[in-house]
Formats: sequence, structure tokens, C-alpha cells
Amino acid sequence: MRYSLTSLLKNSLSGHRNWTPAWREPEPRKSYDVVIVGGGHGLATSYYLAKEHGISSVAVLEKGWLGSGNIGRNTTIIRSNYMLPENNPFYEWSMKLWENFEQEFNFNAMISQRGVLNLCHSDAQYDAFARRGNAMRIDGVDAVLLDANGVRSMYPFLDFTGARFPIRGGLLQPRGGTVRHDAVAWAYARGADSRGVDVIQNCEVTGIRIENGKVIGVETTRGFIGCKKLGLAAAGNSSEVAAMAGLRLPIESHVLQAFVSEGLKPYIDGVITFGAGHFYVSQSDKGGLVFGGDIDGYNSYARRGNLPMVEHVIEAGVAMIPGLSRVRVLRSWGGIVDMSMDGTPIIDKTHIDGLYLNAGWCYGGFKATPASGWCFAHTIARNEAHTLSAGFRLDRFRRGYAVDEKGQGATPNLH
Amino acid sequence: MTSFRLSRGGLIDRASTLGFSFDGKQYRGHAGDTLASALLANGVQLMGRSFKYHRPRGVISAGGAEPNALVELREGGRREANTRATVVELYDGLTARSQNRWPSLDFDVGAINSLGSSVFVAGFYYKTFMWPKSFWEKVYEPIIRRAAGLGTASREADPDKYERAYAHCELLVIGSGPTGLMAALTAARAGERVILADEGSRHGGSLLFEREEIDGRDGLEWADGVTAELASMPNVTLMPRTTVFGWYDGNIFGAVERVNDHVAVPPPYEPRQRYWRFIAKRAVLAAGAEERPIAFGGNDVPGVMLASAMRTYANRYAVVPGKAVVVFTNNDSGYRTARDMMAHGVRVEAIVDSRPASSADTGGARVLDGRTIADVKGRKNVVAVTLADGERIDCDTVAMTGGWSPIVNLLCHRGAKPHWDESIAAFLPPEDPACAFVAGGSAAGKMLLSECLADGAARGAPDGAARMVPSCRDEAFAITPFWWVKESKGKAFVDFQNDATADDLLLAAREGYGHIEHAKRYTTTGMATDQ
Amino acid sequence: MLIKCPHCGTRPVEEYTFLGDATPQRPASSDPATMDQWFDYVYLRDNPKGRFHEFAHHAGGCRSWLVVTRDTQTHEVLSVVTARDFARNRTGAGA
Repeated sequence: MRYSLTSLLKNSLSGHRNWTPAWREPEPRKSYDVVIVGGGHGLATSYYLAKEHGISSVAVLEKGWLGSGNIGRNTTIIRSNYMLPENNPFYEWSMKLWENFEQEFNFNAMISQRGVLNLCHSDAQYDAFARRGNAMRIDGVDAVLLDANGVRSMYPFLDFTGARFPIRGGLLQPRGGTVRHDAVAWAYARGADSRGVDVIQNCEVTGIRIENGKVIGVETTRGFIGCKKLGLAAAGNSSEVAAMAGLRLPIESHVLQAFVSEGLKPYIDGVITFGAGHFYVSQSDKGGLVFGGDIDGYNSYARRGNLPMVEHVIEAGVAMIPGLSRVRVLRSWGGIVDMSMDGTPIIDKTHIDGLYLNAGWCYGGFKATPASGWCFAHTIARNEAHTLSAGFRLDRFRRGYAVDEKGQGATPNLH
Repeated sequence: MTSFRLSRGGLIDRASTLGFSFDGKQYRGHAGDTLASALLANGVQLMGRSFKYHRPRGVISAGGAEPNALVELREGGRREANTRATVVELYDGLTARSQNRWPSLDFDVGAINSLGSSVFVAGFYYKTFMWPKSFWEKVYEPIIRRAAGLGTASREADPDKYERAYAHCELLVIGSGPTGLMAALTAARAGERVILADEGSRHGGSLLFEREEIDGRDGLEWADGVTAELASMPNVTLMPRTTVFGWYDGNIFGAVERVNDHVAVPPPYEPRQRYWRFIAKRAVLAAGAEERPIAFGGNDVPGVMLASAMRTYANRYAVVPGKAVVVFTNNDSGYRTARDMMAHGVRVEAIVDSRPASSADTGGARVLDGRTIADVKGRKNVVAVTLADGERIDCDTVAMTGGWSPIVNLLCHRGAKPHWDESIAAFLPPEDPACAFVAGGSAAGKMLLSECLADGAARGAPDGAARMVPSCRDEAFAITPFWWVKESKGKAFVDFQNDATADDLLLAAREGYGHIEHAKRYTTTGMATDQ
Repeated sequence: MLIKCPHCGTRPVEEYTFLGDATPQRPASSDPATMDQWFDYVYLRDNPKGRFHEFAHHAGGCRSWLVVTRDTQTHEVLSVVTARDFARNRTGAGA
């Protein structure tokens, strides 16, 4: 059923009794051409498999309710402001897909591009930002370097005076911004479903069956499901699922906390990140400030964090924006993120015939949802890496081609 | 008729008169009032406008879970948005402003949204605002963002000081009603270091507003006696005005102590608030249970409030919301409100009980068994109610109670889930015998005072310690689940702060968002500050 | 989270800095033929859901290297020993 102002008005006259369910809830079939494990990037993957590659015999297996994974638990930021050449074109393609999202899916996901501003607090940091900004521009991405006055004219309420680390300037990506995360999951589910994909909730994969070096299907809590190709896209639990196929990954699972404040009248227009501590903030269209900081630092599958990081995030926030002092935190949560050995994701086939892997998104997976789905669908359909995600191959570590933006080496919790 | 102050009773200090202003108008109240009770005492029932439809709203509660009466307090760098008038302790010179209305609370242009309410249903924004493409960011979104949120936060630096502190104890008790007091007392007498935290300004919990009898004495008198004994013990730290907000690994708790929020400006060298980290060997959640509303048409009109809130305003603050009340209930506790109102000289027009029969003490009031209220008549105040079968009863205030929900939240912070209990029609907190944090009293689903006193002693006592439980008079409790009046013609609110109605939830189910997590996110039910 | 350092006693989690899995074994030889072992050691991880042995540096205290054994699902700390004791217990050797 098409969504529009006309259909909304028409339905309001009939008490909204005629809207149809956004997606079906089918029973899993005995087998599919492709099975995708994970209802986050997996939903996007299934959509592009159907739309771009004509493969609709696809099932997406989500172990919980749709959107219960990281796709519905993030801080909604979209941006393409990386430095390394393996990264920018990929994330920029994602931005372009975001920019056409509403029209593509006939679903308003509130894509809002009001700018992502990274603050810097020293000359050295300013130089580093100039370097990154230039790298972005070389890859065709919009970047603007601001001095302190430029930042002040955008956000006068930041602390420019009494700060321990005064603001020196900032790197702005004007097209960066936010998206309503639940709507993305629902839009992809609705889109994939309308193209024949079976979106199967409450179906947890418990085993992967491999015969003669080839994947033949998965054991699940709802029975065995056969497939010719299997795509793993269960970020947070990648190691656990990959282990079912005997794979060990260059990934550690960590907890990332995030927070939402009480609803406020417009306060912050775009996304602002602090350069003297790990803190970033934006304001949702419902009025709540959405913010967070760094991972807690220890391996975890618990989906919750501890107080020291809460204290750290709030302190950094109030240091950056003194007016936040009296704002109240409404909700906080923790998610499991795949921290990879170079801070960069993995989209690749594996050495097992028919088995494909999409993992290692660290804390930056949500913005990549469209491009990740696009490239993973290509990888699965054509059995080869897409040019945009060629840098994300799994064997890069073995071959010495780590894509290390932060330059921290093989220590997951430092990326 | 409107709300007014009773000439006698209450825990307010009638000798001390405090001046305050609300939306620029000057009023008077007493020490012991909250901003909400003082406004009601002055006949002010209209305290806010709802988020989406800008409907006139008053208080429905007397405590921390208030969804409607959100005000902006103070000015400049001290300004705070979305402060619940029901928890603000009145002080001389207090200035408060209502939110989310223009140009005034009484005449709010935003109410025009109500005209479009058949379009502005849950999730409507996902279906539109997409064309033309450029209009989303330039036109639609700025309008939506300006309409969103309730209060305005300050942009200035906060001139007040804050402190951080740590404390260790053998027993942390969260909530100082009958259960919490017993838990603290039992452990303290056994020599343990005890911290007793309560979000209120005074210890006693429900004993501050319910008429109870413990140990042959008035319930509040008993509570004050226990509090005094605890205050005299060196191993006890009493922490009123302290909200425990989180439970973390290692039985660590985060809390905020409102050291000086109840005065205009903190005294020199004192902080406004203190952030605490409690490290407790054991902890008891004695936070009580929250009363639930019933969803029926117009259940948000100022003058409709939770039955226990009405008792609280009358018994603790000596304020009644009107002269003629109708009680709408599905459980025995609604009858207490009828009896308490009659004791204060308020006429009880009827107790409308959705159950076919009940053995609760009516106090002589007329009971309409097996009946329900379909709609409330009135817009800025209650004029009458119409029952589902069409009968109309004139009144100026309505007390509603849909049952009680144990306040389980803290115990769910580490991922365990609550479980449904048919006998009290509510979720009970997860129970882990190995856990050093447990629930007690009505937070654990115990609905009788005698059970709460005994449970408190049992939960608080270290192994082998003596437990002395006082006797008390019990008020029976029975409930038959009843949630929503299908016959309602007007909007029946489920989430007052986010303006989500029963119809919104039905729509969510029709569109496939029937799973509670999807329904919540699609309709935003349960996502506001009252959660 | 509280972690009991063998030297300092029970201390809060923010006093510790975590390095990661303590179980990968550093190859004895740097011969190019052992490249696969090195790759395994540097990059591949079990990342278990459950019992996990993690290197922790008590940066805010005695500054010793420790191995914390903890359940990654419940965060329950099962044991804390010095890194030296952990290594010794594994090899079964003395010095």
C-alpha cells in the first residue's frame, strides 16, 4: 500500500482501518537460494539482492523482533568523513543512497542532513583535520574546514572561553546528519518483503551445515532451512555465528553505551563531536538529545555498560556545551559492537564455498547500512568483492593491507 | 467547581506562607506544599498543554511519574525544562512557567492540531512529508522540530556547584515506605551499615498519605518514630531527596541527591546536587508500586486524576480537586478514595466499578457494579461523565484506578525480565536468589500492609538476625483486569505525555507493529519522561 | 564492575586498562615459515560468549599486569591472577 499525504487523508476518513501490514510474517520455507543471518544490514542486503540482482528466493533470519539488534539501537548518525581511500568512496555511496532513500522506499525515514562537525582543540589537531578534509575532497566528498569563529557562528553555545581545551576550529561535512533508525529497518523490511523476500523474525541460527566444503543450510530454532548461499550479517555476534562454520575472526565484541535526553525545544541543529574527549551529540526530530562516547573497553556481550563511562560521557558533554548541565538523561542502553583488528569492516566471501561474511562494523555500522547491503548483495550474487568494498576483504590482515584509520594497530578496543 | 484548600489537616505548615509565581501570576502556598499542590490550592487546574494535540492538561499524579504538569523552573543558567510540578518543593520566590503553548496556557494556538487529529495518528509522519523532495529539510522538518520537545533548555553555563561522592554499606534500601523502613530498621539494629534513600523530602512513603494504623498508632506517627530511631544510629545514613537511578555490575548503584533544589539558591559553599556511587553488599528495592490509569474518552481532562493522587492531595496537602467526585475503578483501592473524600466533605456521586461485584468497604457511597465510564464531559475542567450505557453523572472531578504496577525498573537494569502475575494483574520483578539486590513489599507485588512490613523485615535482615514486625490494620486488595472502554467516543489516552491513544495502538497492530517493542516505537507509547 | 587485584584488593573497573584476550600464545620462532602462527596470534580471536581470560593493567593502582577471568555475558568476575601466574599455570613450568 502506497504511503502519501493523499492516502493518509483518505484513510483518516475511514478511521485508519484500511492500512495493511507493512510486511508479512511468513513461515520459513524448506529452502531458499540465499539465506541471510541478521536483520540489520541483512535486510538491506536482501532488498538489493532482489532489486539489483533479481534474486528474490531470499530469507532474512532475525533472531529477535525486527530491529532489535544494533540497527534499532544506535545514535542515528550518517556521514562519509573518513580519511583512507578504501573508506570514503564506500561511505559516500552510502550517503548517496540515503539521499534517495525516501523516494526509493516510499517511507519517510526523516533523513536530515544538517551537518556533522568535528571540533578540534589544538594546532596539531587542526592540521590533522585539514589533511582528512582534503582526503575527503579528493574522493569527491564535501568538507569544510572552520576556524573558531566559523564554529562559533554555527554553534555559539559551545564553550569557547572557560574550556580546558579551547576550540581551535572544526571539520564540517555539511551533508552529514541523522536518520530515524527504526524507520530504516521498517522501510527495508517493507521493501524487501514487497519484492518477495521472506523476513523471518524470532528465528535464531544454531548451526551451519557444510558438506564437502560447501554450505547447504542452517539449523535454526524454527527448523533446518536449506540454502545455496549463506550470508552472515549478525554484527555483535559475528564470532559466535562464524564459529558455527569453524571460522575464527579478527573481531572482539565490545559494549558501546548511548543515551537520550528528555525532549527539548530545538537546541542543536546538526551533529557535533568533541575533539578533546570522546563525545558526540545531535538532536532527534522528537526533541531528545542523542549522545554517546567511547566503548567501555572490556569484551562484553551483556548489552549494558558501567558507570565510569557514563560519568566520562556526561563530563565531556557538559565541558563542550555548558548549558547541558540541567538537562536530564531519559534513557541509556548498551549494544554489542564487532570491534575489528583495524577498525574497518569486513565484507567478503570466505574460503568455504557459498559462505559470505559481513562483520566488523565497530561503532560505525548504521550509516553504512545501504552501502553495506549494496556491496554484500553484489558479493553474494557475483561471488566477488564489489569495487567499493574491495578494501574490506577478510584476507587483508594476512596480506598486510590493514585499513587502519586511527593508526592503532591490532588492538580492537583502541579503534 | 474547581480545586481548593481544605481548612484543616494535611502535613503542610499553615504558619509559613510562601509566595510564588506561575506564568507571571502571583500566588501563595505553604511550606510542605509542592508546586502542584499549591497551584491546586489556588484553584489552578490547568498546568500544561499536551505534546501533539495541545490539549489542556492538569496533574494526574502526585509524584514522580507525572506526565502532564511539566514546567520550566528558574531562569538563566539555572533554568531547567520539563520539571514535574508534583515533585517541586515550594520555596519562597519560586518562579515557574508552563511549556509547549503559545501565546498562553489558557489560549494556545497549538490546539488547532486537535482539528487534524484524525490525520495526526501514530506513525503518520512515516507516510508523508516526502514530496517535493526538497521540502523535507527546508519546510517540513523545521516545523516538526519546533513542535517537538516540551521545554526549552538553557544555553548558559550553570552557576551552581556539584559534588561527587562515594559510599559503601552492607545494606542499601531504596524507598522508605513501610517496607523500606522495616528493612532499614531490621538491618540497622543488627549492626549493619545502612543507607536509606528516598526520592521524597520526607521518609514514610505511602504512610505520608494513606490513613493506616501500625502498632496501634497512626501510620505516619509510627513512620516518624522509626525515622527518628534510624537517625539516632551512627551506622545509618538517611538520604531523603535522593533518587537511585541505576544498578550496575558489582552491586554498584548511581544516585543523585538533591541537596539544595528545594531552596531558591544553594547557600554559599554548598552544592546544588550530589552525584553518588553506592557500593552495597546487599540492596532492597522498596520503591513501591505505581497506580495505573484506565483508558477511556477524555481521561486527560484537568480534574481527572489517579485515585491515589486524589487521596495524596487531600490527606497530605489538604487540597481537594472539586466538590463532587466519581470514582472509576477495577480494584478495591478505589474505594479508599471514596471514603477519604467523604471524610473531607467531598460528595461521592458514585463508585463506578467495572467488576460485577466487590466486597470492598463503600463507606456508604453509591456503587454502580459492572459499569464503566465511556467519556468525560468538559475541556478545561470536568463537568460530567457519561457511562458506557449512556447514563450521565454530573461531577467536577474523577478518580481513576486501573490497578497497581510494582516499580520494577532498577531490577531490570542488568537484562533480566519481569514476569506477569495474574493475581494482581501486574508485572513482578525478576527474582534471582543468588542476587544481592532483591525487591520487597509492593515493589515485589505484596499488596497488604502486613505483608509489606513482614517482607521488609525479611529482606532487610542479614542471615540469622532478629526480626520484629509490628501489627497493623490491613485493607484487603482484589482486582479484576480492565484496561480500556471500547464504547468511548473521545480520545482515550494510554500515554498522556506523548499523546498516544488506544486507537493508536490498535492502528499499530493493524499495520503489523503488534509486537510490544514495535508498538512502543511506532506509537511512542511509554517513551516519554514518565515512561 | 569491581575487580579484586591480588595486590591492592577490590578496586573499581576504571582503575584498569584492558588489553584483550590473554590466551593467544606468542610463537616461539620468528622464522617466516611460522607466518600462519603469527597471523593467528596477532589477528584471530575466539571472542567467547561466556568465560574469558583478559589482560588487565592495574594502571590506577599497583600497575601490575593481571589476567581477569570474567563471564562476558554476565560480567561476573570469576578470578584475578597476575599475568605471570597465569602464564606459569598454563605452561606448567616454573621460572
